[in-house]
Amino acid sequence: MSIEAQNRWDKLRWVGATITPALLMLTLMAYLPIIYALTLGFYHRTAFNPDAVWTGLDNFIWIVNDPGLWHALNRSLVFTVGSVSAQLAFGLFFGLLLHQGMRGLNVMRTLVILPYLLPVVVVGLVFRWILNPEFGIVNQVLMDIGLIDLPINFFGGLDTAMLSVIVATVWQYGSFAALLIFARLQSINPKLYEAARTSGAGAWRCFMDVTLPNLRTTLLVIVLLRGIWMFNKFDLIWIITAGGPLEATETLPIYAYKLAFQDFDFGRAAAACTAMFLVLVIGSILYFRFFNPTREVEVGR
Amino acid sequence: MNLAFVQRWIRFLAIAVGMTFVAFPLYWMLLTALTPREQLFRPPFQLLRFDLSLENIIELLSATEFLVYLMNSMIVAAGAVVLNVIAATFAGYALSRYEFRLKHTVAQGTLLSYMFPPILLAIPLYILLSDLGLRNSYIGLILAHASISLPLNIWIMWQYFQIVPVSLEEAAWVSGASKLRGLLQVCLPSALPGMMSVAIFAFALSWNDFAFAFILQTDTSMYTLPVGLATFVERTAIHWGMIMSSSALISIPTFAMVFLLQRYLISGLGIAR
Amino acid sequence: MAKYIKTVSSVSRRRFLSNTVATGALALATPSIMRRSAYGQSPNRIVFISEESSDKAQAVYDRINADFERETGISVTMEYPGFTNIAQRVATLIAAGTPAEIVWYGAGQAMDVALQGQLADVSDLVTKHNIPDNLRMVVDGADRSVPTSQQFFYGWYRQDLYEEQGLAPYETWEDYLNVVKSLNSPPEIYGNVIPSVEQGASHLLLETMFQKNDVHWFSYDEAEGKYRVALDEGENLSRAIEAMEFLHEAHQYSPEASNYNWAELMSEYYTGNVANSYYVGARLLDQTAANNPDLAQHTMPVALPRRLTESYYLSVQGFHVHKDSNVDGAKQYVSFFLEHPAYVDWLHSVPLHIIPAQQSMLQSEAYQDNEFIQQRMDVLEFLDSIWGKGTPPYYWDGPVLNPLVGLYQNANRGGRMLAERNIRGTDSETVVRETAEWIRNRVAEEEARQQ
Repeated sequence: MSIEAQNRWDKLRWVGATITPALLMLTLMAYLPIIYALTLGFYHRTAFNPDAVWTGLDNFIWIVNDPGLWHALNRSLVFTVGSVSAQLAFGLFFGLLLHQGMRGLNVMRTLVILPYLLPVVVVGLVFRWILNPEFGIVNQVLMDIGLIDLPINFFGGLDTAMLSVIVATVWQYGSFAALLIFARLQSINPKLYEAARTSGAGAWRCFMDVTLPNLRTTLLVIVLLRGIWMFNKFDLIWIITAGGPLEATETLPIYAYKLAFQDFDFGRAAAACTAMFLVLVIGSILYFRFFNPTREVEVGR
Repeated sequence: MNLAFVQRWIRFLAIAVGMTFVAFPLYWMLLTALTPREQLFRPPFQLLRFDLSLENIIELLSATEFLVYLMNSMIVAAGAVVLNVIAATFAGYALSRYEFRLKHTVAQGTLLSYMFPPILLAIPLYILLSDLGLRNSYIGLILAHASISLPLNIWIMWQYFQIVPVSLEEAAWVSGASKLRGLLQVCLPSALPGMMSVAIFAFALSWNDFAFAFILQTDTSMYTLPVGLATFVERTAIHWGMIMSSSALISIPTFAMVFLLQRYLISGLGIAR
Repeated sequence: MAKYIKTVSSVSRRRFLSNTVATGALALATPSIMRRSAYGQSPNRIVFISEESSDKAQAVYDRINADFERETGISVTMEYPGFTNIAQRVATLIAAGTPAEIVWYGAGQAMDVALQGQLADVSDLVTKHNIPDNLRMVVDGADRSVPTSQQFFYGWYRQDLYEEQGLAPYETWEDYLNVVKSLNSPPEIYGNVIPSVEQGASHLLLETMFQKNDVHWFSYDEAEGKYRVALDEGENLSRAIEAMEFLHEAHQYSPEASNYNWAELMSEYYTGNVANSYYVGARLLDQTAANNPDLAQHTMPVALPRRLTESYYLSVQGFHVHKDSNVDGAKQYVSFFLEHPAYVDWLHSVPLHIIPAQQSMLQSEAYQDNEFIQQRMDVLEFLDSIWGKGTPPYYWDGPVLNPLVGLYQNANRGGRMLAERNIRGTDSETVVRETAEWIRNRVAEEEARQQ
């Protein structure tokens, strides 16, 4: 074998060995079930009957004509955009903060990471307890200070529910962004900052010219991943409000869940899930085209 | 009053507000866990209280299989972490060092598994794993959990290996080390913060998971914490003291673990440049 | 770099297309590949999914299962998925081709499964164990449920507060509003709690008030042998509006309750936040005794206020056997369970809440031999007095089982009606009419599908 062929074969073996286990796991646990669920949308299938009847596009036509789907989509977008931007802000704030040395840093770092490690049930219930109109501490404090007269029903109010749910998600998931940003900041070569400073740059310039470009990939990855995850978020919202009150927090996942386990219509639920899937796939393809988060960057050499 | 002074105070204020937002729910959860039962439903509540009691925690430990759930969760999480660190490190390395066709498709494809809402994946997953005999087993759940965080972790490691310049490895190869050695001895140390992040995310996604654990573990002795907690909460119809104490008990070991591990998040910038 | 990426993308696109065709073909075949035919369940094993998972109940199951295995050699595997997820569990097992032999939960929920033709005929067991007629669930000409217990939806009140103000327990709707108004002094205490949300507690409250005011969601057409929506017609409409207005006024003396469900009905009561509450059974009393024992002695049961009828919303639970499972083993188990002495202990796991199916059992010494029950014989007598006055929703509108009930019950539509009225402020007539239209659309869809 020629050197070139040997190298290619070598490379293939390496690539194969390193990527294959991951791909295998994903195929089994994710791709096969996804294919199953995607095809379910083309059948009429109720929850309790194993027989499925081919109905072609009927389910898709039905959900597209259902105003509930479009309202849910609207709410999903509001929720996703609101939550992700707040998480990004949270992440930047704490990422930068933890990057600087100060007393009690270890404890602070741990506290910031901790919410992410709590099971969703815990977070949902803790927030329900804290924001409870009768027994919640937040209402009590607000009333004691005098900011409000009557307790606010955060999760039960038509206007406040969505915002309150977003706050809960930011509390739990903001640390994801913080952690990634912090870890990335740690890896920026301090010499880059030195170089910038010796050429006369102030704090703001350092941030704009050194920090931000190096963070670019991280930020783009955070927005992409959190966007996908928040769009598909089901459990936290379900535990806190179950989509209520009166659908104020009924996002697409909850809409799909109700189709599956209240109407017991798996075919339609699958169609709704497929719709969500397509939105995300198209969204990410566009995202990759525009932003190209995989462009490899080390700025400042 | 100069600019530096104001800046410092604004910074201090910002930190205080931020940390309050993060820490207060945790504090309140802990306090509620230690509040005696009769006090729990008699508002107003004191922000600081000294009549603490362990009764909620004791009741929790005796009334439920909390310790069993805890052990199950830890075993599964440990397995998921190990699998993830190994698989993600190798895959991330390959993505950063090699150019091959479909590389970007593979990278984007790993994200595909996140794009489908998990609600309906329960059933096919159950069927698949049941056929493989992996129900009610640690291995089945470890595989399922590992696959949840794997795409994310591949991306993280890919990003990390981008920072490590190839020149370092080349230096190692020139002095006779094999490719594998180059990877292990040169790249890994500087990618350590990345691997720590990977470990934390793998742990978090495994520890938190309800959906997969509920589907796959039907035997109550194999329940993980989120499943045990959810069924327990349902039964007691909102006994806040017990719920908060179980939350606190779940948080404390994770707090300890993160506290001990977090210094590895700080990069050892011992890369000779 | 950018150029390279573009090239990669276009190569991938071509290959992607051909791959898609292959994947597509495979994918469309997948549901049939993945649907397994029943495994041919082992005759020596049954799987029993139970909604009731309290410690005492589990202990009883363990005891009975051990005895059963000793006697018949059939092993019993228990599963406790919890009330919220039990339907998902049942669906998963059916989809996997390994349905559980026995599922113990509400007959109303099992009806959804029965209507898909999945449940076995258990008429022999129903006859053998003398199940009263109003608890039966007959689908496709056979009994599909073996009821073990029932719950009525009734009220609980603070006798101490009543005595303080010289009030007597309510009987009519006017009484109720008067009492609730007198006891209402927010924010220390509210008169009652009217959950107004698209969830179970709220829905059952509305259904009960509809029953009290003789409102029918459907009417039975004898000639055609089927049900049609009648909620917005004639008397039903006016009476439905009355009931909604009643609940709306009661809501003035209640916390907003826009996200209250069963747990809150109890916790609002035992924390002393409301003077009157309700529950589908005596679990409220049980929880009060556990969380606020002082209050328990002042907690009295009362029939919810009557108007045109004294009917109670009846919730029935029982054993349901899947037809493609080890049916013989399952039936053996059900009989064994009902005849086992520990059956009484099972009923005692939440005393006075899990009420036996037969009145004879209620009045028996064995059942009454329980400390909690002895302390609260008044509750037992109350239950005895309302025996037989309960109607499950699927028999409310006609003599034949109404298969359409699930269409509005599963979505907790009654709760939604209350939410529309009390939270959003839509007027009652609009709410009722819109609901009737909504149900009609769904009925039409169902019929279209079955063609």
